[in-house]
Amino acid sequence: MAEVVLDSLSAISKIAAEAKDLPSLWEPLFDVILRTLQVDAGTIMTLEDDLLVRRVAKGMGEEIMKEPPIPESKGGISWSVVRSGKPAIITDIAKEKIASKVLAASMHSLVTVPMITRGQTVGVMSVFTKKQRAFADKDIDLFITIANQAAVAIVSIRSTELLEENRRRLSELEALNQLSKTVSTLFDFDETLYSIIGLITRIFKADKGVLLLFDHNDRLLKATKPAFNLTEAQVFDFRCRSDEGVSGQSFCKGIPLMLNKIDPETENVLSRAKMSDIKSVLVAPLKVKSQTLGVIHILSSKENNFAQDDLRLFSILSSQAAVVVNSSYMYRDIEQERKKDEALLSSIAEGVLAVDNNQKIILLNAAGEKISGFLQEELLGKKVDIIMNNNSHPEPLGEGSSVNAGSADKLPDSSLSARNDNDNHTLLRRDGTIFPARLSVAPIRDADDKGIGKIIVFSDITHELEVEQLKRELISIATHELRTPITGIKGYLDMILSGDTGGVNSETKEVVSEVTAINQKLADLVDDLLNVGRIEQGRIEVKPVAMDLTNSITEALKELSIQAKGKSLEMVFSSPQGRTIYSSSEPPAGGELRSNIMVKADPERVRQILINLIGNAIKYTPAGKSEIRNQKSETNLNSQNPNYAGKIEISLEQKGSEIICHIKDSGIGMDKEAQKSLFTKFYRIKTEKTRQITGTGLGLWICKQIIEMMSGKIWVESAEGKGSTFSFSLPIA
Amino acid sequence: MADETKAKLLLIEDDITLIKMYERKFKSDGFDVIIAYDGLEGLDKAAKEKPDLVLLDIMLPKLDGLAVFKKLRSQPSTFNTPVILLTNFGQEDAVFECFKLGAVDYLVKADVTPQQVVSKVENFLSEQKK
Repeated sequence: MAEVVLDSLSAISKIAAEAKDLPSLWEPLFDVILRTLQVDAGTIMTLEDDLLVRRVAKGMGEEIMKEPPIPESKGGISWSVVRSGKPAIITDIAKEKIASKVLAASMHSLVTVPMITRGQTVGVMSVFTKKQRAFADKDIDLFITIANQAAVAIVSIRSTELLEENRRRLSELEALNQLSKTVSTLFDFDETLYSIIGLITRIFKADKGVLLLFDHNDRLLKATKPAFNLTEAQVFDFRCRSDEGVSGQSFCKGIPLMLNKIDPETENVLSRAKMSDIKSVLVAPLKVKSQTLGVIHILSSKENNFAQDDLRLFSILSSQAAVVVNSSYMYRDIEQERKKDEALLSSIAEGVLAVDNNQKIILLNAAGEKISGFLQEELLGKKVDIIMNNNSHPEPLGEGSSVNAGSADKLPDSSLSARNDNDNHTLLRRDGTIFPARLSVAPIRDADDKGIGKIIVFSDITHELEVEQLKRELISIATHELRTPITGIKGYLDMILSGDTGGVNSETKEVVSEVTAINQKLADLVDDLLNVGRIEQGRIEVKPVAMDLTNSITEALKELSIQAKGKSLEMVFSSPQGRTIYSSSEPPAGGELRSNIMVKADPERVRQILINLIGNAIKYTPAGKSEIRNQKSETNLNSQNPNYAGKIEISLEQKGSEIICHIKDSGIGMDKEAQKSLFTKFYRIKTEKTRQITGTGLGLWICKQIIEMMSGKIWVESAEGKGSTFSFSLPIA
Repeated sequence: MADETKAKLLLIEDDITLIKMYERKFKSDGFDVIIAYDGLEGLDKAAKEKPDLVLLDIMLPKLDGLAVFKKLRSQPSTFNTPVILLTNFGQEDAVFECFKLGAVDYLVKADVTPQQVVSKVENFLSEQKK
């Protein structure tokens, strides 16, 4: 017996020393165990973290290897052996709770011993008998010895495995390192991709490498250049549906796949691209964040060219390729945008100049070159002063109104004003001449909304200014030359009407009155045009003095009373306290009612404004009740309301240091859109109701300019069909 | 008033349309009207003819109305001759200047009828008589 034991032990040490991996340990080891202990089956489980993993088994069929590892939480005989470090002997397995169903079904007795070396349990070894058996102590001692010998061998095998694993990791790291270097040093994406694909192909000892990118338009995966070792035609023909073959599977599922034998569907895809010689494939998705751009392939004409381990490294490397593909996409987009910008900049007629935060020129477009005479190359990196004529003009890159201190260095940051247009600038040409320019300055911002410079759009307005000047002169001459004849017509008509030229019958009188009215309209138009011309040329002057506003209003009402009476409109003027100062229906009671409201304004201008505003109120208020009976043709609001009586109310209000005059009519009113444009030049409300009303569309613009010159404001409140209230303010004297 | 011999007026004006109109009106109302077509002629006739009243335009050839008015005030022969200014819109500065120097009144040509001009002149002259 002792001989047998010694033989066994010497055999086992020899086996353990020669074993390179677990199977090469187990096979001979089990023969010895079988012989020595007279058992039917045996197995080894090793301890991997908190799992007992069955590594080898013999004498109990293949099924046992498919059973899952046993976690510590599940316990069982093997775990109790690991925990206690002592053998377990079971003579009747049926009476015990045993994890393995295979064992429970086929075996009767067992012995499980721990595998311990240097005080560390590396796993358990078990032997089984089909018939009931009571193991002798010496058998168990021998088994423990064998198990511990095996433990030494396992630790040594493990170390080799670890070394092997490290070596593999090392090569992965090297490959990655090589890739990263390629990615970071090359800016040409095609070349970068080519070297990545080539590198990966070589690492896996394959023949070809190619990317298939997903085309959103036709929903196909298409091979794309650069490809490694593929012909143009192969690249063109290598395409498949996004669910076709191994490429489609990898793309759809987003996982790397290995094909050591080509399936029919993949075969089909490959043969279309004339690559039927391919026998094994590695394919991995190109994923960037949540998006899958396509797949990368490594192809080999050898069967079984790839090992299971390769898949992991391939997966890691392909993720690097995905980053490059994505960057190249982004770069191409940016490049396209840049080319578009370039095309845009060179096609526009305005000069475009861009400066950085140090006022250095970074861009001048073709039109800018033409206008200024400079070439972009000459200006790049130079200070913007070279083109800005800073000696005599307002700060062009600033807030428009600020006066330039003589240098563009102090450009205020225009971050508050997004844009800034101005006509009043001059720029320098290359030959030193100065030209008037219209400038538009806007800040340039980066993606984080940080100001990184300014863009200046400019155009030469020399010609425009000349035309403008001519236009003004023409208007001025025309209006002056028109005035005298109009005055003459007016005078002669008046002489006819007042009988200076002999008797006039009533019909002639009526016709001449009509001509007089037409002539007056002409005179008003000329006056308006003259006023516009003066205001625009800054030739109008206001001389504010302390003046009584109530008096001006009363005078204006008297002046317009004939017009108001003609339309049966009532005009009422009341004081801030609500007392009636003037009423067209009752003659004024005399001076007692007059309350002086003193404002600081130019009396003649105030008269002009009042005549205009009250005149408008009369014009735009439909005729009152008595009038409608006679003038059925007129389109009036009051046709719906028999009780309608046109009324114009003028009231005063004191607000802070200002007097506000309200002129309220019961006229046709206007919508919000009209209110916005009302005070602009030549604006007239054009509706059916206003067709009969004459005017130049200049009156309110003139009023606004004049009131603003006197530190006042003018505004309107109105609603369609509800009448309008025009208000203006003047400072209290 | 047509039967009475009316006052003598000097009209200093360069626009022929207006001259003809005012001349006709004043003559039909019985005034004696003398015409001057520019500032220098106006000064000359004011001194020689000794009119009862001068109607003076502001914009005039050779010498403008303001200069004419200053000259009238500076020479003894015309020092007391009353002057009514005939102006156009927008000549307020000159009007203001003349008022400081004693102009009687001013009329904006476009705003008044010939009848109103005549009335103004008649009113002034009858006031002066009192």
